[in-house]
Order: sequence, then C-alpha cells, then structure tokens
Amino acid sequence: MEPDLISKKDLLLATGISYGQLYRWKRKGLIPEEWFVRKSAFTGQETFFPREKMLARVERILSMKDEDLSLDDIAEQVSPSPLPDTFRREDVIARGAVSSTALDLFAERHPGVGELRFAELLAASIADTLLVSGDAGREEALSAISTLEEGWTTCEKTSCDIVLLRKMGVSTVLLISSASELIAESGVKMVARITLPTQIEQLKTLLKS
Amino acid sequence: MNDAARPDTKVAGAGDISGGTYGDVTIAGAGTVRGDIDANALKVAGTAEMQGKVVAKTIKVSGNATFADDVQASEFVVSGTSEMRAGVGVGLLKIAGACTILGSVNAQRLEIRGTTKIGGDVQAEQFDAAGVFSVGGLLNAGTITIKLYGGCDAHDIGGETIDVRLGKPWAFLPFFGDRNLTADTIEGDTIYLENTRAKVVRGANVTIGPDCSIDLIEYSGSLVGSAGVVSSRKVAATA
Repeated sequence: MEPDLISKKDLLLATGISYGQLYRWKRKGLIPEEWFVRKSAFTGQETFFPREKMLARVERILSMKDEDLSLDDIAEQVSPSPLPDTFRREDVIARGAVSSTALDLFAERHPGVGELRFAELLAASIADTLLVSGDAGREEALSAISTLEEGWTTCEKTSCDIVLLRKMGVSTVLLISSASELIAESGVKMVARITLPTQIEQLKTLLKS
Repeated sequence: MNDAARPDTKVAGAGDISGGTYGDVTIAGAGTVRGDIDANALKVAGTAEMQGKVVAKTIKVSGNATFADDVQASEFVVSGTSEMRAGVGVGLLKIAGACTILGSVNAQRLEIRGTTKIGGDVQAEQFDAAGVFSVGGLLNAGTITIKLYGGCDAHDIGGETIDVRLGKPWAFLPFFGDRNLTADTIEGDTIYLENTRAKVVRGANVTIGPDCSIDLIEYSGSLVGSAGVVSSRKVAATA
C-alpha cells in the first residue's frame, strides 16, 4: 500500500467517524472531490484518501463541530471558494491576516482601492507569505500578485499552486494546477510553491477568528 | 407575477421563445427555447426543447421536454417524459413519468415514482424511490428509501440510513421484470436490505432481509439476519 494514502476503512477506524458522516461531509463539500482516489482492490474498487491532508481535515471538522458550527459554516471555511465580503485594511491588519507591508505593496499596484475583495486579499497574503519567509524580493512578490490576478478565474475552478522559480537571479512566477508535477532544467531552483486552497483556508480562518 | 421585467409568454401552436427573463412560460404545442431563460414558472404540456440553461422557481413537465444544458429549480416535477443532457440542481425533483439525466443531480429531495436513468452521481438529503432507477455513479443521500418495483441499480450507494425493501404489490400495476437492487458497494450507518445484490456492504448496523446475495459484509456494530445470505465473508470491523 502506498504510504501516503489511507483507505476509507482505516480512516474510519483511525478517526471514529462513520460512513454516514463521511458521505454527509462529501455532500456538503467539506472534503474536496479530488481527494477521493479510486483504486482497484480484490473486492472491486476501493476509495483512498491522501493520508496527511485527510486526517488533518477530519480533525479540523470535528474540532469545528465541537465549537457548535453548522456544517454549512464549516463548508464555507474549508472550501476554496472566496468569501463574498469585502475587507477594510485596518481590520485585516488588526486580525494579523495580512501585514501592512504586503497591503502597501498591493496598494502600489492598485492605488486608490479602498476595501479589498477576498481575491485581492489573497493575492496580498501570498505576497506576504513570500516576503516573510524571505523567499522572495519585492519585485517577485509584486509579480506573484499580478500573476494571481490574471489567473484568478482559473484557480476559482480548480485547485492551483503558485510557484516561484529562479535561475541565476532571474525569477519567474507560475500558476499551475496543484496536481501537476513540475520539472525544470538544471540550474532552476524552485524557491517557493504555495498551494492556494491551503492559503485560502488559512486566510479565512484568520479573517473569521 | 406579470410585469414589464418578467413578461409571461406562451406557445400554443408551434413557436420559438428567445432567451431572457420571464414570468410564466407555458409551452402547450411544440416550442423551442433558444437561449438561457430565467423564469418564474415553466410549464410544458406539449413538446419542448430547451437549448440553453434553465433557471426557474417551478418546472412542470407533463408532456415531453428536452433540456440541453443545466437546469436549476426549487421544484421540478416530471409526469411526462424528460431528458436532461447536463446537470440538475433542485430543491425537490419528483419524477412520476420517465426521465433520463445524463449529468449529475443535486437535490434536497429526490422522489422517483416512474422510471429514471441518471448517468452521473446523485447527491440528495433524501432519496425516495418507488419505481425503477439506474444511477451510473455514486448515489449519496442522507436517507435512502427504496421500494423495489423493478430492476434498480447504482454503481455505489452511500449514506446514513439505507432502507431497501420489496415494493408492495399494487392491484392494477404489473411489475417491471425482476425486482432487485444491484450495486458494487453499499455503505451506511444503518442498513436494511431485501432483494439486493452487492459485492460489498459496509456499515455500523446491518440487517439483511430475504433474497440477498452479498460477497462481503463488514460491520462495526451489529449484523442481523444474514443466516440465509449468500455471502462468502462476514467481517466484524473492530474499532
């Protein structure tokens, strides 16, 4: 058995959830469709999940249920779809969701924008993550913002990663689907790869807390 | 409702309706809707072809309707025949006639009294069937109640409560051939099965009624009445 996958049966045994719960969560969109991996087994087709992601997600859902959140609330938090609200700069900084440096960077590209939409905030938060980790410089962070803005409609539909590549000091930002593998010529360094659904989830948690 | 923004429209003989926003759309003769429509109510008593997307509060098909694209409605009742070539998103979908859906169905409640063939998946809070159906993908519903009046099948079935029984004979209606349910896997919390053929049945509390043939049963709570089941293995999954 591949070590990074967990069978449905083992998942239920490990977490104590029931078949009914799992199917309900699937209906409510709490577990992404692409995490259900079908493989042949002696009984026919069996379902597997990416082990780490799935165990973390189940734990998260269960802890949110303990806080008495409805399944619809949880779905909104864990789904990669954007929040409908707009956000004020002060609130965003106060919640520690995105730093003022990154927001300034965004404002530089879009002077005069008041309240930020979720997609814009996400772009700024990606820039933030890149800057804070020290992986990217100012220009690279800016180019990450513009790449995301151009590709936003695509990543609303499928799970995407934003990738920063660098070769001999020249950098490139790519937006690719999360499932794809990336092989580059030698000398190219993958400086950062950020999975958007994960980033979205974190951002939502910070904004809602 | 009849105002300037949502005019009513009616095809009584043969005619076309262009896409747009309407109040009540009635097609009594033969009509073609060219383009996407957003209507308050859509009624098809004759023959209709919807070439675009349809969004409506209520849809009633007592004649014959073809939907080429996605359909969204709070209530959708088919008592005639209907073919949906894409997906269906509804509050209540009630099928008393014959229905073919090539895509997937998302519903609060799906009621099948006639014959229904669904190519994709079904997701519903309640799935209530007393007729004949076929689901090409996964049938996923909170409560699944199936009364068998003919041959029914789904690739896989999953939910909280799954209850499959032989339908009570009706005085004037003949049965449609063999009455049984066929599925690869059936998974749920509380499962009751009659006349079912499955490769695997997994659940917490599983009750097997008469005339079942199941290759493998896995249960974590109780297993009742499986003495006569043609089953090669019965496993108590321990937590």
